[in-house]
Amino acid sequence: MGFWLGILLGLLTALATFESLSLLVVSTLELFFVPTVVILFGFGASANLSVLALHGLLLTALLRAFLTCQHEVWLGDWLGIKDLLVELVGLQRLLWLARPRELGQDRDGSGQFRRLLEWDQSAFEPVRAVEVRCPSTGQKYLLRVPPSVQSCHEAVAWTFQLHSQVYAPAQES
Amino acid sequence: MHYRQGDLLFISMPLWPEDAVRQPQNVLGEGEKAGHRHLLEAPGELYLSQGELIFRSQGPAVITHPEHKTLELPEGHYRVIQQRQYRPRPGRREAFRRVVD
Repeated sequence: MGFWLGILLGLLTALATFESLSLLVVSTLELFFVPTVVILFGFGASANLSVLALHGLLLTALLRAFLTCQHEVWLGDWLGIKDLLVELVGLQRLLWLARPRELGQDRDGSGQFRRLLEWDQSAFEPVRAVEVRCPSTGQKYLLRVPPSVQSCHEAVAWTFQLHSQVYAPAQES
Repeated sequence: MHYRQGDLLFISMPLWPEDAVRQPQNVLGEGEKAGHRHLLEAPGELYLSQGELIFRSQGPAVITHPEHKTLELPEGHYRVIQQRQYRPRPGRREAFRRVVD
């Protein structure tokens, strides 16, 4: 219900006369939507709300793309649009707002902790990513990988176009 | 053998290709922040062969980056592989996109 209400609001927003006013409405949606979802998660919201949060974020990203004339969004099929919107939202934000499933964890050659995460979009291809930490800066990164990847090691190997049995850096920094 | 610095992987090569073209600068990869580059220090030499960056060094190959620990690779020939991310809808775009750190 909330999702369809969001679509209606979005259409109304799109019909607004002034682009700056439309972007203000989208920003307001994001401003109130984000804290609401965070508060709900703080009280142990169910996994279904996580999916709702994901779709809500995609909707606001869709509106923003439309209002800033990112025409590529409108040229693809719906699944292509969803994937592009996941890029627009960003995996870091997805991690913060829509709770992923942890599929596995390990440590890399330099002892840094890694996690394999997945956001299940039900009818669509899951978003699977490996969270890695740079041994030099300590900064965490999320790298999207194919849903066929089964482990953190295999995920990082894939990002470097290598098979998991071959990937074994002698030094990492 | 291979070595990793941030989003770049360096894989040793047994043979040096004949079509390698010397590059004017020893920049192995650009970072997301301005001025943050993976640099191959002298006496290392950077080349391009069939769309891939490769390099060789007569002594230890030193690779620096402002945010990463300096790597010192044994003398030899290496291929540079840039890290990528998955993009499920190839269509008009590549099936993966490059990572910059």
